[in-house]
Amino acid sequence: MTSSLALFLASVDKKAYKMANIATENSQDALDIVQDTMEKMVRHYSEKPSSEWPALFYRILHNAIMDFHRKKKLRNLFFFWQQHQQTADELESSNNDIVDTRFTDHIQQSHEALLTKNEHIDHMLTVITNLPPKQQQCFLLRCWQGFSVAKTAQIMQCSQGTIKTHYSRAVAKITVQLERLDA
Amino acid sequence: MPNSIESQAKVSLDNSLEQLDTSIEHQLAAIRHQALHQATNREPSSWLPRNTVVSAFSLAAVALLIASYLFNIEPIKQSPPLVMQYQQPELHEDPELIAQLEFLYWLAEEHEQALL
Repeated sequence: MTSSLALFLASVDKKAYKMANIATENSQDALDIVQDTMEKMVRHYSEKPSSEWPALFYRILHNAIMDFHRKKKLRNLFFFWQQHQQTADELESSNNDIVDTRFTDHIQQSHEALLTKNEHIDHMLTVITNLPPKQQQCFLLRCWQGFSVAKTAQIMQCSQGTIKTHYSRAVAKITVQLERLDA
Repeated sequence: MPNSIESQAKVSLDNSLEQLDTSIEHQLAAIRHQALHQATNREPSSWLPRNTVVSAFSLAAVALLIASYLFNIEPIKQSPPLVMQYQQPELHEDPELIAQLEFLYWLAEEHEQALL
């Protein structure tokens, strides 16, 4: 059982880290979440049938990510003045980045017809990162992890209708944002 | 047929995995080993959740306390009031006391007659 569990954890660790990193935008927080998830998985669910492991693992991961957002919200509530300054700084910084990127892109586009593949990938990741937490999780579980609507609803502990709503809104937002960034 | 946005997202996300820093990969490997290590070092008795054991012991301790309190209380001995004991000595069933009371009664009567 331990060897098959080891293989399973090796197959999901990078994707789990990426999901946590997109959610937290911080490498260390993402690693902490993955560690917490794996330990809980091994401690509580290693005896379950292996067919149930993916859904269980991602449910634990999803709950850990949601806990992170809740704590962050609470922290921001108490330290709102820091958040205000940080948001203002980040906004200014990100605006400058967009301006810089667009200026650079404009220069490049004067010689090239299309954006490079890596820039498009970066834009896609940026757009997914900026989605609201539940839409983001839903989109990643459905689109990237390949879970069905029913399985995703089980992981996120909500109805299938809610999953469909989250997913369609996420796709719509990504489409709009991508067009803006690629323009 | 998958949406083009979805296809693009999958490609972007898969590519980002390939670009993952080697230090992150090493840390992930360490996390995996640590998680599995805690599983192999788990004691056999740990199948029972710790909370359940603590709760069971607490409950047993409380039950013992209640039982010791209940069984250690002595039953109240029903004895007639003191006045009734002297007014109705037959209830008390003490022959010596009765004899003494009769003697005192006789003495009191003799004394009255002597005065008369």
